[in-house]
Amino acid sequence: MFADKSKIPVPRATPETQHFWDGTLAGELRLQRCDDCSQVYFPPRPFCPVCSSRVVRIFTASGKASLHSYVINQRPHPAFEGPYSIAVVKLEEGPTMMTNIVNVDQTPEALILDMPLEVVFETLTDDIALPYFQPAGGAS
Amino acid sequence: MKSGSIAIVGAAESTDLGKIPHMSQIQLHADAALNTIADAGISIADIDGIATAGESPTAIAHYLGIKPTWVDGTAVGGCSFMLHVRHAAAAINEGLCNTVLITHGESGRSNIGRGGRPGGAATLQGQFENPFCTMGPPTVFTIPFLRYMHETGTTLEQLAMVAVVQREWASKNPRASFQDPVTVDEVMNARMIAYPFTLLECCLVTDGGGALILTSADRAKDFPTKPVYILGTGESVETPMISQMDDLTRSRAFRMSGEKAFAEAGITHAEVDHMMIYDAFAHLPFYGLEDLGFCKRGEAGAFIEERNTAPGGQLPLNTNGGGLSYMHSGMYGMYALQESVRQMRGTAPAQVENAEISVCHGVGGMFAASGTVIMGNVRP
Repeated sequence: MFADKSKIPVPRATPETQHFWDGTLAGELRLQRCDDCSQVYFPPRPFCPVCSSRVVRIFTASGKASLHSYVINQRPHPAFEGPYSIAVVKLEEGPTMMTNIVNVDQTPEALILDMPLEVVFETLTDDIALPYFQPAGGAS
Repeated sequence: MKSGSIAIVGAAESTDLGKIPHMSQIQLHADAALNTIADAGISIADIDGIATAGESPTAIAHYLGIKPTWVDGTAVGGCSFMLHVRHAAAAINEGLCNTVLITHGESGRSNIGRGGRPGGAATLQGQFENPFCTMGPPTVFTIPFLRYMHETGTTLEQLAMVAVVQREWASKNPRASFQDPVTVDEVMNARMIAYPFTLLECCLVTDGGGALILTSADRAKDFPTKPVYILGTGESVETPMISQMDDLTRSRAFRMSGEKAFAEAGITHAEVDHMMIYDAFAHLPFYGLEDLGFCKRGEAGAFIEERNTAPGGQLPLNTNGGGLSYMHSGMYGMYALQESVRQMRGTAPAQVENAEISVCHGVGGMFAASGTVIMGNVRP
C-alpha cells in the first residue's frame, strides 16, 4: 500500500496534543474524558468542548472503531502505491477521526461501511507515529 | 450605532502573560475565552456569536464548542478587535445573535502552533487530517457522501442526476463553461477522481470575479436598477475538519444558517420560486435541500431525479449551471448571489417566469461554514 512513507506530511505536536502523540509512539490511542460531564472528545484539548470544564483526564482508548465513511483517492500521491482510502472512523468511545484504512484491498468491495476496525500504529519519525486502522482481527 | 445600546459584560486575559511555552496559539485563545466566560458567569452554550482574528473563526468555534448564528473573522491587523466590537454591536442590534465572544490569542514570542496558514503541521488539520494524505477538496469534501448514501438509500445514479440537470440549465447560459448536455451514464463513467465521485461530479476550476452594491431599501429608488430586497439572512460555522462534523449526513452549519434566514424572512418553503445551493460537488444540493427543509430526510435524491429542480420543475435550482457547469474559481458564492439577483431582476438567461423570491445558500470550506441570503423583488 505505501510506496514512500517519507512523503507523508508529518504532524507537529503542540503542548495540548503532546500526550496524544506520546501515546501513538507508545502504541496507545489516548483520548480525553471530562470529569464534570463525562463527555469523551477529540481532538485533544485541556478542557471540555461541551461544558468547558478544565477538569479533564486522559485515558487509553480500546483502539476499536467502525468504518464510518471514506473516499478512495484515484489521484497519485507519492506516499502510496495506487489508489488509497481516506476515511473517517467512529471510535468505540464515540469520537470520529480521519485515517487511512490499511491491510485491506483499497476497493469499494472490501471497504464496507460499519465494518469493525482496530487501530495500528506506524512510526514515521522519532517523535511521531500515526494511527491507522485495519480490519479487526488483523489483515484481510 | 445607537449610543449606549450595547454593553461589555465579560472581560479577562489569558491566565499567564509573557513567556508561555506550554500553550499553543489556539489554546491561548481558548484560555482567555474560558476565563472570560467565567467572568461573565455564563457557560459556553450561551455564546451564539464569535469574532476573532489570528485564527479562523471556524477553528475557534469548533475548538471551544460554540454553535454560532453570527461569525466574524475580519482580520486587518492588531485593531481587528475594535472592528469586532463594532460589528458585534450591529449584529446584536439587528438580532443576528445575542451574546458575542471576541477572542485573541497569540504565541508571538514562543511561536507555538501559529495557525494563520492553514495546513501548518502544528494546526489541527496539520495534525489530524493532512497526515492521511488528503489532496484537496475532491478527496475530503466528498468523504461524507458514502455515509449519506448508507443512511438514506440515495444512489449513485441520483448523484449523477444532479450533474445532468445542472448541465441542462448551463446549456441555456452563454457564459457557462460547459453547455453540452450529459447523461447519467456519461457522468458515472467519467474519470474517477475519488470514489465514488467522478470528474463530472466535481466542480470546475476557472477564473472570474463578481461584486455587489447594497444600500437601504429607501434609497434604492434613487438607483437605475430594479431593487432586489434582502428578506432574510443566516450564517454559521461548524468545524474546519470534515472528520469532526457532528453528523456526516447533515450539515449543522447549513441548518443553523437556513433556520435564521427563514425566520427573518417569515416565508414558507412553498413561496420560494428559485434556489441556489453552492454546488462545489454533486452531493451538496442533497444536503442543502434537506438541511433547509425543502425535502424530508433522505428524499432529496428522488426530488432531483424526478426533475423537480430541472427546467420546468417546481423548484428551479442552480439555474446558471452551478459550480459543476457554470464556473468555480475556488470560492463560488458570489456567482450564486449573482444568479439569484439576475432571477429577481428578471434578467437571467434561464429566467424563471414571475420569480419573486430566491433562496441563495452557500457553503464555506468543506461543510465548515454556511451563509444563506433570501432575496425578493417585492418590498415587504
